[in-house]
Amino acid sequence: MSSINPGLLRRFFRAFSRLRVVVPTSKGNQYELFTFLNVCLTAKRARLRVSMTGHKGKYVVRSSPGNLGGPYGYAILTTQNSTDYELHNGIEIDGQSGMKHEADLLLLGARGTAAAGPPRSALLTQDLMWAAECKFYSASSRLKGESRKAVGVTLDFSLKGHSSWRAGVMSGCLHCGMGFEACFVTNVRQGLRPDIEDYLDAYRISPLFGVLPKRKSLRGLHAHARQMLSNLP
Amino acid sequence: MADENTTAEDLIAEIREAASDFTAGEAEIFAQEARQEVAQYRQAALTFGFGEETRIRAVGLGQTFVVPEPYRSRAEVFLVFEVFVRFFIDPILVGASLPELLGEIDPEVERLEFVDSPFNSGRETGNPEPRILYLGETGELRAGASGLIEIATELGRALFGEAFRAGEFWETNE
Repeated sequence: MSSINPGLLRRFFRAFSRLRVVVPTSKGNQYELFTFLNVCLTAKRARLRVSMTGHKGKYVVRSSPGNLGGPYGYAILTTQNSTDYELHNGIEIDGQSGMKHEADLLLLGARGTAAAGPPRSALLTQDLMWAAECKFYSASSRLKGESRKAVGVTLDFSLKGHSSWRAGVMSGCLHCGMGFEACFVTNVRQGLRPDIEDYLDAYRISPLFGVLPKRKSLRGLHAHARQMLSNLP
Repeated sequence: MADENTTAEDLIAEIREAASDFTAGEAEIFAQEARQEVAQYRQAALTFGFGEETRIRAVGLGQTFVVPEPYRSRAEVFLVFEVFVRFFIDPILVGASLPELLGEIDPEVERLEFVDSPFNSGRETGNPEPRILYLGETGELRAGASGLIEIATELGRALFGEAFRAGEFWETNE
C-alpha cells in the first residue's frame, strides 16, 4: 500500500492560496476568455488575420452580459478574401420568443449581413455565424441543467421558427434551420458523461468536453473552430 | 492520511480539512460539489425493479457516468479526485495559460481589464470597478501551476497506486 505524507494537502493549499487571487475575475470569465483566445489562435493558424480591439496595450474583457457596443474588446477575424468577422463574448441576444439570452461567445458577420430582427435584433443586422456556451464546473452533474439551458437557448436563437399556439409569439425550430453553428465547451473530462454529450449532439450542439490547457481534448476545440472557420462564406 | 484504502467520504473530509485553514469558503463549496458528484454516481448506479423488469428498463438507457478503466475499481474516489482537480487546479491552469495565448495572438496586449456591463436588461451585473491583470506579472502563476500539479500527482499516486497516470490529467497536448 502506498501512502502520502500527511502534510501534502496542507502544502498544496498553502501554494494554492498564494495563487488564486492573481487573475482578478471569476473562474467562469477566465474560462470564457481562454476559449475565446483558443478560437483566435485557431483562426491565426488557419491564416486568417486576427486583430484584437484595444488601446495602448489594453484589452477590455467584458465580464458580465450586455449589449453590443461600449468599451469592450472583441477580435476581428479577416479571411483571405478580406471578409471581416467579429468574435465577441457575453452578448445578450433576443430569440424567436423575444426573450434575451446571453451567448458566451459568438462570431458575427459584418453589419448588413442579416435582416433587421426580430429575432436577433440585438445583433444590429450582423449575421450570427457561431455561438458557444462555456461551462467551467467542478461537479459534472451540474452540466445536466446547463446542457438543457443550452438546448433551449439554441432553439430560441434558431433563424427559422413557427407561430406558437399563443398569438404573436414565435418558437424557434432546429429542424427548419438554426442558421448558425453551436457548441458547448466545458472542462469536464470527455467521455465521463456520455449521457450529456449525446443529449447535446442530439440537438445539434457540438459537445466539446475536457477543453483545458495541457489536455489532449483541447484539440477537439481547435478542430471544431477550424471546421467552423473553413465554412465561413 | 489518504492512501489506497481511502474512501470517497474520507477523501472529501481530508481535502476539506486541509483547505479550510487557507480557504475556508472554497473548502465548503468543494465538499458540497464532491458529495453531489458521488451522490449522482450512486443514484445512476442503482438498479430498479427485479429480473425482466430491470432488463426492460435498462434497454435504451444511455450510460450516465463512465469512469476510465484503470480507476473503475475505485470509481467514487476517482470522481472526488476529479472534482478536486477541476475545483482547485483547472482554474489555475486556465489563468496561467492566458498570457501565452495572448502573446501568440497579439503581443501588443500588455494588460487585461475585466469590466462588468452597466446595469441593464434587469440583471445584476456585479462589480463596476475594472480589475486589471498585467501580463508581465504572471510568471508566478505559471510556476505555481507547475508546483500544484506536482503535489496533485503525488496525491494521485497515493490514492491509485500504479493505476495513476499523470498524463491522463495534465498531458502536454501541443
